[in-house]
Amino acid sequence: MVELLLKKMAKTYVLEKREVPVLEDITFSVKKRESIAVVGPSGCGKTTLIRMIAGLEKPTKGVVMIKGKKITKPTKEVNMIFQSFSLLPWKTVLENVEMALLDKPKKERVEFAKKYIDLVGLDGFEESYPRELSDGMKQRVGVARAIAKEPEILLMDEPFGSLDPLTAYNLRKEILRLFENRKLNPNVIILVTHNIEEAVYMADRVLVLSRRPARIIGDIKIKLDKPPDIRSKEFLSYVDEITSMIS
Amino acid sequence: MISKRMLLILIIIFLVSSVYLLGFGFLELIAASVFSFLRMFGAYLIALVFSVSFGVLMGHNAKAFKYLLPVMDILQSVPILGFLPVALIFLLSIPIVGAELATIFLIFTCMAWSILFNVIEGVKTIPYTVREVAKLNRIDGMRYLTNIVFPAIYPPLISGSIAGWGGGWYFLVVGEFTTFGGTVHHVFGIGSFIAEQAYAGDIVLSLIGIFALSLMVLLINSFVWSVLMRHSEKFKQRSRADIEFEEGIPDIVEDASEMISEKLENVTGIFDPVLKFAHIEPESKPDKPSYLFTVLLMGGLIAALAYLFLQSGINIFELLSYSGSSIGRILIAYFIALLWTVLAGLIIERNRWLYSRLLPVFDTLQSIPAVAVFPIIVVLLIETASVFIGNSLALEIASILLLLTGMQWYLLFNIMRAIRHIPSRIGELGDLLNLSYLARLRHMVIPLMLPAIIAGSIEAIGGGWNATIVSESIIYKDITFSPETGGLGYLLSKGTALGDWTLILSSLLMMVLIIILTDKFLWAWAIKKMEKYTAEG
Repeated sequence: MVELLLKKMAKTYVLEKREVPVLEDITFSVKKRESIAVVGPSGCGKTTLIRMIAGLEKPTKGVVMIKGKKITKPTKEVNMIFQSFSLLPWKTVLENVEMALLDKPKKERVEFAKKYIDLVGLDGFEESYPRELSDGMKQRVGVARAIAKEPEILLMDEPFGSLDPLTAYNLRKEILRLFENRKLNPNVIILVTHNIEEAVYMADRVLVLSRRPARIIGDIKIKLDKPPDIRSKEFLSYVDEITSMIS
Repeated sequence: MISKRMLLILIIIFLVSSVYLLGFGFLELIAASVFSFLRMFGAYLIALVFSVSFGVLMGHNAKAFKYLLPVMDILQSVPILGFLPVALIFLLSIPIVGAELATIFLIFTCMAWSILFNVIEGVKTIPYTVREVAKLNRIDGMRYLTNIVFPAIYPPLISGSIAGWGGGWYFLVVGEFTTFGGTVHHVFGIGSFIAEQAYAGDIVLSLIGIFALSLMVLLINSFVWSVLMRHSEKFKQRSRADIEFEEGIPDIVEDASEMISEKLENVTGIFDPVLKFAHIEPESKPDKPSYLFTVLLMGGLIAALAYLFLQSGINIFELLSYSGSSIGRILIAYFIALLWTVLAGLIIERNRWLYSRLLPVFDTLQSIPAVAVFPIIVVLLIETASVFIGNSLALEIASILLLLTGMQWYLLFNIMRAIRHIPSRIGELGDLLNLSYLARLRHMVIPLMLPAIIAGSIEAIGGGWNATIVSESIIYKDITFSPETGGLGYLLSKGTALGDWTLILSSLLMMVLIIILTDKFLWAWAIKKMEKYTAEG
């Protein structure tokens, strides 16, 4: 079943009256329970791509469809995790997660938020403020806030980019674990990263973008068990294959 | 900040001396203070509502920003006392409450601008990723305001309020006591108490009034503003450890406010359509102010000025020479202020002990609204000095001294703040490089102080223009004294006193024009030049 479909999508920015094409002819579809990683040279338009899936930007040409519906603005089916955490410093962990649930009545909202705080392993920190947390914990709050809305599609824009390697490793494993839980949303993960090992580790499919204006130059199925063994020969050969496509 | 013990001592001195000097009149003084406070508070509430609604609107709505910003910019540059004639003529005609409304309106004009511009700045600094989170989670309408916008503007709102509130005190004396069209307009309050005593020649009673006023300023600063300031500064970097402010609030109040906010959450939704209509949403961002519209506004001002000349028969050379003498006086006062504050800054920079001793002294002195001291300076110079140096020179000096009192603190406090923030590693770097004191001054201390000097200069010159209106037309014992060389402030107060509209408007427009030109060319250039010094290294 097709969850997400991008058809002949293109994006052109106008900078000082000059047209700068960023993305060209992007077409791909994502099935339920698929996780996708988007990699490519830096500045190629990876972030622009997922911002359009989020409905934060409109494509110049083509369409983005979620479950057959055209996306023009943010919808409740999609949520996103940012590299910069983007927590509100004046709100506690609980209140930050509640921000995703403002549609619900207060009591239900708190219940829901607590459930997801537990799920990312932050129980006991509900009343803490972001300043008191390590970067890894802050991003856990970001994850809890993003999945508390129970989006069908979870977008991640370099979510581990500002974390130290060990913290990033642990958080990656946990997000995979959350995704493997078949009873819960999200049904689709789209991860933007410049880290090719991370892409191979997290994704079922890796989309490789070219230099700007970016096109899809590779769509590679990763046939590994989750979580994969990062020292296995198969893992490393996927990494090599993708690296050679980019450089 | 002044210590609690020091405050207590001051209160006791005040109580003893005022009871001794005034007897039962002491109660009148207290009542006058309370009246003035209520007036300030009322004006502040209006300024708050005005600034937050316009600030939030202008921070979001591209059109509002485009067209309202140039208007607000021009209104802001009108010297506070320039609103005086307008307020008096329109509001005084309302029976009974007219005088009160005029005073509150004038105090409001002193407070509104710094809050407004800080709110706009606060809205602009909401990180764009936070806005995206709001968009993705569809946090809009009132929820967006209460959860994201209000907390984000809270710290700049408080610092703007402190500046605005200070401006209000400065103006209180004039606001409560002015002559207009030959009649004295006054309302009961501490400001009018000070002015009446001084103009009647009773300096001691006037001083007691100033004492009461300054004490009130100090009390409100240390029990309201500094508490809010600390809370708002920490608000952006909160932790469980430092919410002691909230712990001071009784549980009942906290529970009640939580309940109210929950109820409100359901009710305030009715405003959502209004907010949507006004484009106050996470995705809306202001554009640039309209260049064309600014030019049109300025052109309109110049045309109005030209028209008024032709109507009034005011000699253009007279107006220009009056502008010249006002500018000259402001420049002299500015250089005196610059000289002593920079010297003081350099001395204090070398001597941290002196810094900690002098700060509360400066803080206390600064809390005395400059306008309140005018009468005393006038008496000293007119009564005594004029015997030795002649009347006209004494008046010039009085006028410049009065300007000085309205200008110097801005420079001093900006410089002091900069010195406090000079990182210690800069000093260590100087030691490591074995620099001489002069080299250190040239390459480190002065460059570090420059942005503060520029910021202080902008405020000081603005304060100077505000002060011209009072300093060039000094009332003493029912006679108005003015320097022989005249000035725009003199012309404006003359117009106000005569109720002559062409005189009022042409002098006011001239002043606004000079201020805007200084802002747009001199200060804009200086700020651009300064950018490299403010960069973190």
